[in-house]
Amino acid sequence: MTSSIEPPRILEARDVSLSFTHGHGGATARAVDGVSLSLAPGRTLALVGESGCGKSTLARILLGLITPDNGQVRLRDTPIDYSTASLKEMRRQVQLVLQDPLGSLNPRHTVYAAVAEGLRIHGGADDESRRVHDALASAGLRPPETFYRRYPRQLSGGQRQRVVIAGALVLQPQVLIADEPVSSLDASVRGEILSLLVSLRQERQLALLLVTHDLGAAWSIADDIAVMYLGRIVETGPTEVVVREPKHPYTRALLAVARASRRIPAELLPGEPPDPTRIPSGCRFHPRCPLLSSGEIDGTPCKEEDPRLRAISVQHSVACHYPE
Amino acid sequence: MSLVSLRNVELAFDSSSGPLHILRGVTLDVQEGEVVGIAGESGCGKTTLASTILRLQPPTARLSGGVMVNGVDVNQMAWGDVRALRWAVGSVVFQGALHSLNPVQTIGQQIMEPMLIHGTQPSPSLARHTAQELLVEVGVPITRFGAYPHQLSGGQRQRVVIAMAMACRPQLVIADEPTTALDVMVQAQVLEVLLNLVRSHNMSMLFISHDLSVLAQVADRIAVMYAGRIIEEGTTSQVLEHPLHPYTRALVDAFPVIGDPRHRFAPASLSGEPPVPGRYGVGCAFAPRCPASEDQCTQAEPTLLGTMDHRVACFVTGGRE
Repeated sequence: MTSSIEPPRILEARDVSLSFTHGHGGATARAVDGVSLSLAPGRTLALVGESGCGKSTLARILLGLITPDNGQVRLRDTPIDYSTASLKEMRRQVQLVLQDPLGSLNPRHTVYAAVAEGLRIHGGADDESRRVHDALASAGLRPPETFYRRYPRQLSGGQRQRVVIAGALVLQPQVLIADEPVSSLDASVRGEILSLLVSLRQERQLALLLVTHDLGAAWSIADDIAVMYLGRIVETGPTEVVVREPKHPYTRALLAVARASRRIPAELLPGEPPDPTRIPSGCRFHPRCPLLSSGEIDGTPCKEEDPRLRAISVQHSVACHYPE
Repeated sequence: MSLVSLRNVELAFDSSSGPLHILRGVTLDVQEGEVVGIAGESGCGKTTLASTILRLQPPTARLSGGVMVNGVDVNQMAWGDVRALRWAVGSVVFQGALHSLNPVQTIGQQIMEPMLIHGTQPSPSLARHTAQELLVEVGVPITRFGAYPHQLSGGQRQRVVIAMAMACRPQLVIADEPTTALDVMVQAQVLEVLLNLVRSHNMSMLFISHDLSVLAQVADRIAVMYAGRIIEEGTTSQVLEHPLHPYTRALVDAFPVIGDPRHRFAPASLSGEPPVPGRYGVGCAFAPRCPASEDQCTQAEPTLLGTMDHRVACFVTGGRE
C-alpha cells in the first residue's frame, strides 16, 4: 500500500461519456458528457440533479451495466474491460439499491431466497444461512429468522427496502450505489433507511453513492456532493462547503428551492428541465442562468465558451465563468 | 359560515375480516379564501377525507357525521345538486396528470368540457375564450391549445389539469399531492401557479401532501393525520415551528434543515411501522411507536384539545410545549 494524501479510490469514472439515439435517425441525447468522479471507502458521495440530468445513467455506467462511449471505469485502479470475468467481479463488489423496493423484489420469493440469490449466482457459499442471517441483521431486520419465510407483500415499505439492502450486503461489496433509495418511502420511514446507510458506511467502510434529487437527504448523510446538470458535473466538493458557499448559480437555485417557505419563496429558474438532445452552446446552463438574465454579468463567454470544471480551493470545483 | 365543515366524520368499509375504520371522527373547517394543508403518510385517510367533501367516497363506504359545504350536508343532497357540487363548487387536482387527461382529446377541448357540461359558459366560443385565458394564466403557451397530452411535458400537463380545475371558477380546489410526481424545480413552478390562481380568484384550497416542506410553502393552516384521525391542527407556523404531537415532531424532523449542523449524519428516525389502515386497537394509535408514550396512552384515545390556533390530541404533550 502506498501512503499519500490522496484518499484511496475504490471505484472511479474517468472522463466518461454516453449518448443515446432515439430510433432511426432520431435526435442524439448526450446523457453523460465527460464526467469524472471517484468513490472512497467509508465515504458517501451524493450525486444530485433534476430528472434527465444523467445522474442515473452515470450510476449505471459505474455499475458496469452500460458501457460508456468514451472514458474508463476503474475498480481498485484497474480499468473494467467489460469481459465476463471482469464484470462478474465488478457485480460482486458494486451493488445497487433502487427506489421502489416492491419492483426490486420477486413477489414469489421469500425474504430468505431474495437475500440468498446473489450468493447463489456467485457460486454459493458453504455458510449461506449464516451470511443471509448476518446480512438481514446488518440491514436492521432483527431477529432475522422471523423474516426468512415472509413474502414482500407481508412487509411494510421500509422493511422491503431493508430486504433489498440485505440482498446487496450479502456479497460483502465494497461499494453501494443507491438510486433514490428513500423517494418512494413515507416520511417517518425515510430517516430509518438513511440512518442505516450512515451506519453501513461507518461499520463496513462502504463507499456509498447516493443518487438523489433531494438535497435534504444529501445534507443528512453525504460527505461530498456532486451537482449534475445536463450530463456534466457543474459543482463538487465537501457537502458543508457546497451547501454553505455554493459557487454555481444552478447549485444556488437548487438550494433555494429546497429551502423555500411561505415567508421566503425561492426565485425559480424559468423553463422546463433541460433536454439532453439539445444541449445549448457555450455554458449549457446559460439559457436559464439568473446571473445572465439579471444582467449582473456581461455573459459573452457564457454563450461562447463551454466552462470546464476547475478547482477554486483544494477540494471544491465549479464549472462556471463567473463563480461567486 | 365555513365553506367546508366536517363534523365528527366516521367512515368504514366492511371486509371479510371485519370492518375497516378509515376515518375515525374527523372535525375540520375550511374558510373562504383559506388554504388548509393535510399532512400524513400513506394509508392515514387523508385522500378518503378529501373525497367525502365532494361525496366521492365509494358507495360501499359507511359514513356518519356531517359533511357540510356552504351549510348543506352533501350526503343529503339530490343527485342534481351533487353534480353541481363537483366541478362548479369544488374541483380536484390529482397527482398523476397523465391519468387525469384524455389522451385522444386536445387539451383545449378538455379545459372547455366542464364549462360546457355545467353551463358556466353559455356558448362554445365563450368557453373557448375562457379556456385560452386559463391556459395563459397557468403559463402554457396559447399555441398549445390544440395539442394532445402526450405532446406536453410533465409540468405542462399538470398546469393543464390545474386550468381544468379552475374552469368553472369553483369555490374550493382539492389538490391531492399535485406536485409529488414532478421534479424539484418544476414542482416549485407548478406550486407557484396554483397558489397564484387560488389567491387571485379568492378560492379556498385543501392541499394534501405527505411533504411538510411543500405544505410550508402553501398552507395557512395544517392538519396532521395519523390512523384516520387529526392528531394536531393549527396555523402553519404553530404546527411546523412548535409541533406538539410526537408524531408531528418526527415528521418535521424527517425533513432536515439544509445547512443545520445538528442534522448532519443524524437522520431523524421513528421506530416501528405505520399501522395497518383501518385496524386500530384501543388507546392512542401512535402509542406503539411513540418515544413519549405513558401507561394512559394505551388505555384511552386522546381527543383534540387546545385553541383555534393550535390543537393537539396527546395526553403527554397536550397543552404544554
